[in-house]
Amino acid sequence: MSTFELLLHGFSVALSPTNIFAAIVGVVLGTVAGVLPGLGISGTIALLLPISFGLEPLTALVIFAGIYYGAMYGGSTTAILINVPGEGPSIVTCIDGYAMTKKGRAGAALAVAAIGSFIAGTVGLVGLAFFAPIIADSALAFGPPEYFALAVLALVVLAGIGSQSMIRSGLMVCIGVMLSTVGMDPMGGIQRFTLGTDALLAGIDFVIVVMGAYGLGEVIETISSNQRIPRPPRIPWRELYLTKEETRRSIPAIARGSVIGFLIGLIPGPSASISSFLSYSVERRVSRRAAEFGKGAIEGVAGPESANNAAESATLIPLLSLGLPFSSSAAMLLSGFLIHGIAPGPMLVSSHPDLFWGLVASMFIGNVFLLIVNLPLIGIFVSILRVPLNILMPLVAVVVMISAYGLSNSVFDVWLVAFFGVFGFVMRLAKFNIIPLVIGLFLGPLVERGLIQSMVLVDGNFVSLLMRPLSGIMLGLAVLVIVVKMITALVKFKTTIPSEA
Amino acid sequence: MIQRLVIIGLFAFCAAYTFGATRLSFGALSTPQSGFVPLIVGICGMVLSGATALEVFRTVGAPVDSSMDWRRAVLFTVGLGGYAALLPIIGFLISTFAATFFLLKVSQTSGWWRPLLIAGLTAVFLDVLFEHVLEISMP
Repeated sequence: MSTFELLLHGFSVALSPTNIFAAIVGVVLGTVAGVLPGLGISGTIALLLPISFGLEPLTALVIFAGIYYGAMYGGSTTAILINVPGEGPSIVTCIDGYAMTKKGRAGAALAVAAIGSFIAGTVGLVGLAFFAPIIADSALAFGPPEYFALAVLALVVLAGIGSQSMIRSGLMVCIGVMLSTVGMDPMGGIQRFTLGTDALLAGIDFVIVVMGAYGLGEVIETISSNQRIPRPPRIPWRELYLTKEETRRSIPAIARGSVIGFLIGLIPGPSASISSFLSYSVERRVSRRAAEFGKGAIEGVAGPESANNAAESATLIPLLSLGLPFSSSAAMLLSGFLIHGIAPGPMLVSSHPDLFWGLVASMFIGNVFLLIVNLPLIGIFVSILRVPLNILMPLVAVVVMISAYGLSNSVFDVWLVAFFGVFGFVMRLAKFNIIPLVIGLFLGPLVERGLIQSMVLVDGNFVSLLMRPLSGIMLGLAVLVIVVKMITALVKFKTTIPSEA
Repeated sequence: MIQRLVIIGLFAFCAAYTFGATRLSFGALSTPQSGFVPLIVGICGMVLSGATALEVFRTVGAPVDSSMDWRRAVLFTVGLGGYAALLPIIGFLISTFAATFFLLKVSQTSGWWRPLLIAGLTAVFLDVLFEHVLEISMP
């Protein structure tokens, strides 16, 4: 069957009343998650994990996917109205979005953010529908050396991108891989690092770490940061329109943002944030009204909002086709898959075609709902900001703790999730990004299995791994990234010494 | 300060892990055993945490956010630990009520009746949801 026919089949699955309802629930919850600073995608998915136990896997994943891309839109609402970014990628939207609000054009800013998100999200999903099966097909031919090389490349690239230094990211990756080795050795069945407790025999659950470090960590940070949300302005329905001039200026910005976001989304790291900053700088550079930027230029909202949504959709390509989560929100979505016993990766498209194509189709549907539901209900979403965080956050914490228990009916998991909650909070305070740790934890078993099998296969001759075309290219690229980063760091180090002196 | 404490902790963790890895069988390059990957990762971790420590101790640390309420963070953490400890002892319903009430008070929810009511409703709702709807056997 062609991609188009498979996608049509996906629509037949996704258009069941249950899945349509799930898509609406997902995008509404996602928007709420994005609107409320401190809750986020991670907290919302963590909250819903236990409730999803009773749902069909596809229905649960449709909700999680709705939360995933709905949050991006919700994040822009608070950025535009009250200058508070709900999600990291919306930081750049604050600049011109809030300036538009001060000029009395909040409605136009919200409308262009919604339309841009819809168009860019759709572009990303078209890319997902076409590229994910092709990449998954190619990955089916991978042997242990190629998987090992791919995982190493992903970890190295991931460690090199982001706000923290490569050394710190590398350390986080190593600690993630260390945590993945706790439990039974997958090859020989020997106990490792279990500290003599049976509870650690099965290893440290990826979902527990994600729920704790992200869900609980975020809750503790919000509670202790004395965050106060300003009162948002009311936006009448009749103000949600774009003038002809605004429409004319927005279209090219949306197109450029969609392309930038899609391409950046394929690179490991915080692609949504990077793409929105990159899109903003491109818009300012190509605009004939560069002086208007920072004072309410509509391109400054249209471009970045389109870019971060396209990036979020594109991040699903490596997640669904290779099983590699390239961002923290993708890691959260991955935990949703794992909890239902589904491992995203090359086999997903061929062994669960209904689920894969149903999920892709549901995202198209959810994207349409996002546009239909969000603009008319903007007043309701804004009023959610009036819910006191000091009541909401303790409830989120309790539900996350119970969800941890529900995963395997183990009180030890409750202790673990609390531990990782505190760990996530402390790491945030110390300015350590924990996404490399989470991805190291997930990819650790793949790296270990791939390395051991490869070493046996090539009889201990590591050079033979470099002789295989695919693994050689990937490992070569990984070495290249490390060398380039080391040279950059060295140059930076040398230039700071004289200035300090 | 917090960065320095964290990096010392991470270095100690990597060192302890590497020591644990040396007690596992390494094998040979052609026949790796259970300690093969842990030892490599442990050494990498020690080197990187050492390098991060140099980076952290070389630079002047960013000032700690003065608006951060440390007392609340510690009490909230104690509440989470207390919940995990009480759950198997006094059961799901009562421990959930107690933990929710405590966390609400720590989060400065005003008055007594309001947090009591929210905690009670939350405990009952979650009990119904988990025990009866999702049929998860709670302690």
